[in-house]
Amino acid sequence: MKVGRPFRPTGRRLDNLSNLIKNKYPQDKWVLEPILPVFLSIIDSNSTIEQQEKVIDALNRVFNDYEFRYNTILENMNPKDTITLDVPLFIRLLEYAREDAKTDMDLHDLAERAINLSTEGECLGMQDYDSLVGQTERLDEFKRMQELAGIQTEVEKNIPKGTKITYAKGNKPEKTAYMVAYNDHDYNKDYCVVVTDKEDLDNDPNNFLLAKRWIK
Amino acid sequence: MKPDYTKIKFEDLEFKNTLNENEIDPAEKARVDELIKQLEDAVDKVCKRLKDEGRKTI
Repeated sequence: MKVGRPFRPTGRRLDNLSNLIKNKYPQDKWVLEPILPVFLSIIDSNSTIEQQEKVIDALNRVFNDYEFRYNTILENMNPKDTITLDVPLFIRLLEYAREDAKTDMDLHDLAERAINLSTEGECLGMQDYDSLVGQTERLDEFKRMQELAGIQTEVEKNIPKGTKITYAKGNKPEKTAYMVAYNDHDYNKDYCVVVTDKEDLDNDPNNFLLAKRWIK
Repeated sequence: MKPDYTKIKFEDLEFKNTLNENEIDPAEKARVDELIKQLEDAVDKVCKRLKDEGRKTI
C-alpha cells in the first residue's frame, strides 16, 4: 500500500477559490456547496491513481470556468500567505494587540482573517478593521453555542438507549438555557439536566458540568 | 452535515491511500466511482451555469 500522493496545486486552487468566494463573491457559494461534500467523501476513501486523476480533472474544470468568469488566476494567488497593510491599520492593529486582545488565540484568529482577506494580495486598510477584529464577540457566542451543543451530545451519549429525550429552551426569555427531560418527566423535577446560559456559567463554571453529574 | 469549508485547508489534504487497480476492494472501487460520477455531474452543472452567467457579463 502506497501513501497517497499530494495534489497541492489543485488543493491550492481549491483554497483560493473557497477564499475568493467567501470574501469577495459570497453570492457564489452555490459553486462550492454541491461539490465539496462529495469531494471530501472521496478524499476519505481508498482510491486508485486513475480515480484520483478523474477527481483532479473534474475540479480543474471548475477552476478554469471560474477563472473565465471573473478573469482571475486562482493558482498563484497569495502563494506565500503574505499580508499588506496601510499605516493607519498597522497602528490600529498594534493598539488592538496591546490593549484589546485577551489571549494569544485572539492574535492568531486575527492573522488568519488577515490572510483570508489577502487572497488577491491587495493592501488592507481601516475599512477592513471590523472584518479583522470586530467579530470577536460573535465568534465568542458561536464558540459558546458549540460548547452547549457538545454538552447535549454528551448527554445523549450517556443516556440509556430507548430513553426519550426532550429538549426545551429555558422558560426565562432572556436566557438560552437548554433542558433535557428523561422519559417524559417534567424537566423542572429531579430528572432534568440543565445547561445554563453564559451569565450563570461566568458566576459558577461548575454549572457547565451539571449535565454529566446528574446523569451519573 | 455540510462541511465548513471556511475551516478546511484543502492545500494540505491528501487522498487517504493510493492503491493499484488489483489491490483495491471492488466494492470500495465501485463506491468511489459512484462518488466521482456524482462529483462530475455536480461539476458539469456548476460549469454550465458559470459559463452561461459569465458570457452574459462579458
